Amino acid sequence: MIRLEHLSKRYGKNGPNALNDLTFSVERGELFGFLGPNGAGKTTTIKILVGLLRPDSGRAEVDGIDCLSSPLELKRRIGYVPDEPMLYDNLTGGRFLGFIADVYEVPTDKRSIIAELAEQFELKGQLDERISAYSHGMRQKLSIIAALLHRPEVFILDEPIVGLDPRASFVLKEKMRELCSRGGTVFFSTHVMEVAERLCDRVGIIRGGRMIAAGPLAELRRTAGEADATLEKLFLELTDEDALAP
Amino acid sequence: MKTLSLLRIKVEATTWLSRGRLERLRIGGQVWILPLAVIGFGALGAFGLLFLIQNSVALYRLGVAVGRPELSLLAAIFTDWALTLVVSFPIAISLLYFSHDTKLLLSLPIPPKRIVAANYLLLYAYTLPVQVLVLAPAFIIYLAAQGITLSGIVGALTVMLTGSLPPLALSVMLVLALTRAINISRHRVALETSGMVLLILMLIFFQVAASRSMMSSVSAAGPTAAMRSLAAGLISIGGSIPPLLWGAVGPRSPALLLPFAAVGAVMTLAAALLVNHGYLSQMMSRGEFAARKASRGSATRIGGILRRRPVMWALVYRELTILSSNSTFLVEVAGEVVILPLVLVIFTLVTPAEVLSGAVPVIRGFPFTVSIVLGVLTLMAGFNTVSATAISREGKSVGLSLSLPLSGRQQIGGKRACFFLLFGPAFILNVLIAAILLRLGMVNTISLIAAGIPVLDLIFAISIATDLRRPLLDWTHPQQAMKQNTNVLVSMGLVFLMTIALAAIVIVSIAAGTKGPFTVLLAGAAAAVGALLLRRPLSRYADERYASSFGR
Repeated sequence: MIRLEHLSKRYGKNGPNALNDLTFSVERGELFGFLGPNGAGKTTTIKILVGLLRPDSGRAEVDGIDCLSSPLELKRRIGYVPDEPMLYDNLTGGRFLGFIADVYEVPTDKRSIIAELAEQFELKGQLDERISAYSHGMRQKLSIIAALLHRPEVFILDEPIVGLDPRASFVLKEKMRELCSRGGTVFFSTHVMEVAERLCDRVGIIRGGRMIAAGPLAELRRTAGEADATLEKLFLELTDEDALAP
Repeated sequence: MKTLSLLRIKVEATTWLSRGRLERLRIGGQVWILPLAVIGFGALGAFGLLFLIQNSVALYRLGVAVGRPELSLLAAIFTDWALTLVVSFPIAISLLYFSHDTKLLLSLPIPPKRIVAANYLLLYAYTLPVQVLVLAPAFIIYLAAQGITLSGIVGALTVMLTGSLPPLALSVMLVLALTRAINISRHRVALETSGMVLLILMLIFFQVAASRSMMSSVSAAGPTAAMRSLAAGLISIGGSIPPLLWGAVGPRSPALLLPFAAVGAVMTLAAALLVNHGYLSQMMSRGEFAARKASRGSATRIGGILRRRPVMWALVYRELTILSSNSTFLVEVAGEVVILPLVLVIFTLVTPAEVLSGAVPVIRGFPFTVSIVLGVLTLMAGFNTVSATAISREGKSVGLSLSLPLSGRQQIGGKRACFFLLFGPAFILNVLIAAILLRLGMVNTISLIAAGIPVLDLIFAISIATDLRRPLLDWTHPQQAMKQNTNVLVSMGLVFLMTIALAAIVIVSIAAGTKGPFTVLLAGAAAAVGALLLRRPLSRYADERYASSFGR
């Protein structure tokens, strides 16, 4: 469903490599957690995946669609939650969702999903308020609803849990699971190891723009030779700078 | 999603014409702001319009005298092109490359060509008032003199609506070329400030041309040599740039309107295609590079924080930092501070000596002269966007100010100091230039400066109170914080009323027998009393508003 091959990206001529020959794939029905320390290249990878950033080399495709050559087709197919909500502060939450539904050409008879999602994320009462009055969590909820209302087959989220209250966090995780059980794919980055550990079918750990480990948690434990290790412990060991130093 | 729907949402979401903002005014019982805004805006527009009408009349007369009645139209279209080219440049940079919604729109399945088209239409809408203001007086005067015909009206409307398309396209293409040549995000402030300097130089050029055309009336013996050279220059420009001439003779020869409009349409299409081609790739390649470079640069300046400075210094520094944080703020403040002195200097330099020597004794003999100088300078200082947006400019980062252990009065104290730092020297300079121009003498000059200081304080108090009441903090691009901030218009309206009140005091005092500098000193004293009376309630109000986090 998601395929990245030899992806490289450098910011500026002499800047550091944000991505360095990154290759991995995520299959249909899979919930994939993308982990890595700050500056590892997670957001860069996601931006390339959603057609917002062009790689220097390599190839990225989602559901057979080339992220670079068919960005519109790609965007119609995916739901994207950015690390920082991108919203029109001057609109009300409801007007903003209406705008997003217009963009995705959601038919009138299917727009009840807006109210359903708003209800589930407990935002229904605030849809008439201007977004500028929203808290960070409410903005995040709105961003998630906006990404879900066209019923995407692939859901890509960059740090989606940050700022969410426990109920919204729970609803989001349910939605992610539900999408995978319908045959969709979820790809999300997070720093919350417990969430990744409990939720993901597979995780990938990126460091310095390279994938240093990927697979189901059990496999990572096996490779590390620590049968009972938590994901947090494995992550800390794998990303330890001293341990990786030559 | 269609382009017009996208444009509608952009207007609704990113300009002050949003339904949300108007609704908020209605709910908050703030509808009174609108007529006050109209007064402020109208007063400013009326000055400009009066100037343009006088100039158009003079140029029309000159055109008739040299056998080219379309001369005033040629001058108007040329002025419009030049102004549009410069004015649209920073807006094109903001709309095409730094609009905060670009990331959002690019993440949606909206074809980039639609985003470009919507942005282009918005850019056109922003510059439309400039072109209508510049062109309408010239066309109305021309048609009124030559006879109003259907073809004339169609011609005028065609030129007014499509006239700015070529310079607009040129401006957009220049921005695109710049994005290719340099890292525009790093040099944006410098670029837009350079654009402002260019605009000022152009305004000076037009000021020279306009002053000459107005002052050198066409006598029975025919136009003066200076006027003939101006006419020849304009005709030569028209000859070198045929579309200019086509537009100017369009009302008389409608057939030429077609190629005129076609040039605009073709250039617009070319610019839109070029932007469409370069737009996405520019956005997609740039990524987070600018932010990374900025963070590295700031690390090298860390040594500066080790020195301890007074709180007031820190607050003034904060204000100056915010003002220079982006080119929109920087250009706005630079324009307001330097334009009037420059225009006055140019006026002094270009006015023929014989005109000045003849006019000055007459002007000086008038009992209101010194008061009028104070009134004009008060209005010019009062029509600033700096003080009425001092809080709004902080935008979302106002949270940082609110988290500081400083009272509201301390916060606005810093803003007042910054205002005086910028407009105090400019006011004194303006007084000195006016004094030289009108030979006002030492006593009058000192009186004007003495009266001006409390007047500036009163202007600041009125403006900051407006912004304290309802700061616009949720702007998405800096244009909204200053140029499109209704607080500016409200403040202008109030300053206008304040000037009328001061004028009334002057009139009454003159009627009561007060003479010379005492009239302005009286006005200054009244302003000082006003500022003093306002000082305490304003401080309390500032404390209260800051303490309540502006009701957020």
